[in-house]
Amino acid sequence: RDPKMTYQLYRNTTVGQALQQTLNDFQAEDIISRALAERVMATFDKVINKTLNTKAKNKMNFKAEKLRAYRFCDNVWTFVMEKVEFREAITAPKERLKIVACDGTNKVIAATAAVNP
Amino acid sequence: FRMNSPASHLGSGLGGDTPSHHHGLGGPNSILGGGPSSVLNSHLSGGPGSVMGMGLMSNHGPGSVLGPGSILGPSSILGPSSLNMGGSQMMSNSGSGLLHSQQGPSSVQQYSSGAGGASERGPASNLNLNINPGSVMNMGGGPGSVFHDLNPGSVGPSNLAVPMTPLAGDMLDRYHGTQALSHSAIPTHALPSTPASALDIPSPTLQNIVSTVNLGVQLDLKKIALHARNAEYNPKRFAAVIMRIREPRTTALIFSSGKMVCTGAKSEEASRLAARKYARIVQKLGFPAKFTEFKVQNMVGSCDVRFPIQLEGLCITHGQFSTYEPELFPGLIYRMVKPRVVLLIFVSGKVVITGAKFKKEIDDAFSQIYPILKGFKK
Repeated sequence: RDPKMTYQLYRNTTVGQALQQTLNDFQAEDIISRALAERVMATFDKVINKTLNTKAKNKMNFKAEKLRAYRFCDNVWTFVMEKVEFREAITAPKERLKIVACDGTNKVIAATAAVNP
Repeated sequence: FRMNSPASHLGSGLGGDTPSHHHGLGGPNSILGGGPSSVLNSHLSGGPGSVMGMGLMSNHGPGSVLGPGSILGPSSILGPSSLNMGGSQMMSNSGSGLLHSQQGPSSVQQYSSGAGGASERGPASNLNLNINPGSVMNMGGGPGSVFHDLNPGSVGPSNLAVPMTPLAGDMLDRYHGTQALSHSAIPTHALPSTPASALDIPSPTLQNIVSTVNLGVQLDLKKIALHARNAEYNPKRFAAVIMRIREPRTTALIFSSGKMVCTGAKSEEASRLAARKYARIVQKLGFPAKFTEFKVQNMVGSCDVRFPIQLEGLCITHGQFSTYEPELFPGLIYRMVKPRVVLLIFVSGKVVITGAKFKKEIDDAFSQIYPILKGFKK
């Protein structure tokens, strides 16, 4: 049966990449099968989507000088901003910031989530 | 022979019935049929516009005399004159007696009988067609007040610093036909010849232009949305790509048929330029786009007359054109017949004009509504 489709958007994050790397290493050493690795990634997708929706409570405010470009296609918003300052000033102001935002209401697989202009 | 007082003029042949046609279009005093009508003379401070008013005083009614106090012949009265028209007096003379003080040199001759009976003022209302607010001739007096003595000094509050000098001979020629009167033509001692821009009549500014163009080729909207910047495409909600550019600041709706709507520009040229830019973007994405059938569909202008307006009164007088439902919408909706535009008139004095296809229509509409609004100044 098909697992519930979720965004694979978060695979390209630090933790997602780390997990992917580990699974690849295991597969190379024949410790686990490819199908199992895929299953693990799917579980990761599901859990991280759910956790970010429910458990992550902190907000981040930011202000940018200019919105260079925006796009909305396939229910995915992409923003490219310049000179972005974060309210908490954790990092230095960013010259360019790209935000890719997927629809949080419907769980739709977003293989095309990362839009490459 | 300087006719510097209306009194003399009155004697000179404006006896009651026949307006002095022979005067042609000259002389502020001359045209005013009937004594009382000389009120008009005193207000030639409206500059070019006002003078023309005189010029238009060719009474071609069946002996339609500008009766007492009714200076308004069939033609427009340009004149910063506050004409207290006992309504009946006015209307008796002219079938189309409309007070249209056409201000501005260019619009001097335009008096349209279409825009409602501006002259149908109730007795109480003080029709102040003063183009030049600075010299508001509030002649006081009741309806049909006649200033037999047009001595500026005697006229009280108004700055009737304008002696009753007829226009110089050459001016007569100018008033023939429908030439706009350049302010230089008016002898300065006769009128404070102010160019229209110095007169306090505001002029409408364009706020929005909507235009359409056909790119002439089928388009793949998804491809456009994916590859172009600043594009939105949500086919579930709306079947077009919404694209924006910064210069000129506009928004375009691009449809798969190749047709496009461009909105938000502040002038016709800007709209055309923006549409061309969108067509260029589409072209760069690989579609063989053309630029055909560009047409401005709608123009919106706005203006501020800078005085409050009695909308209720305006609605009653111009009932056939006005819709005023304060519970529904705070503005009065005035549907002008010629030009065919819609004006939204607000109590504050702000006016929005929409439905025009050309800037001229907006300017015409405003120049027609302005005197009407002045009559309903609060």
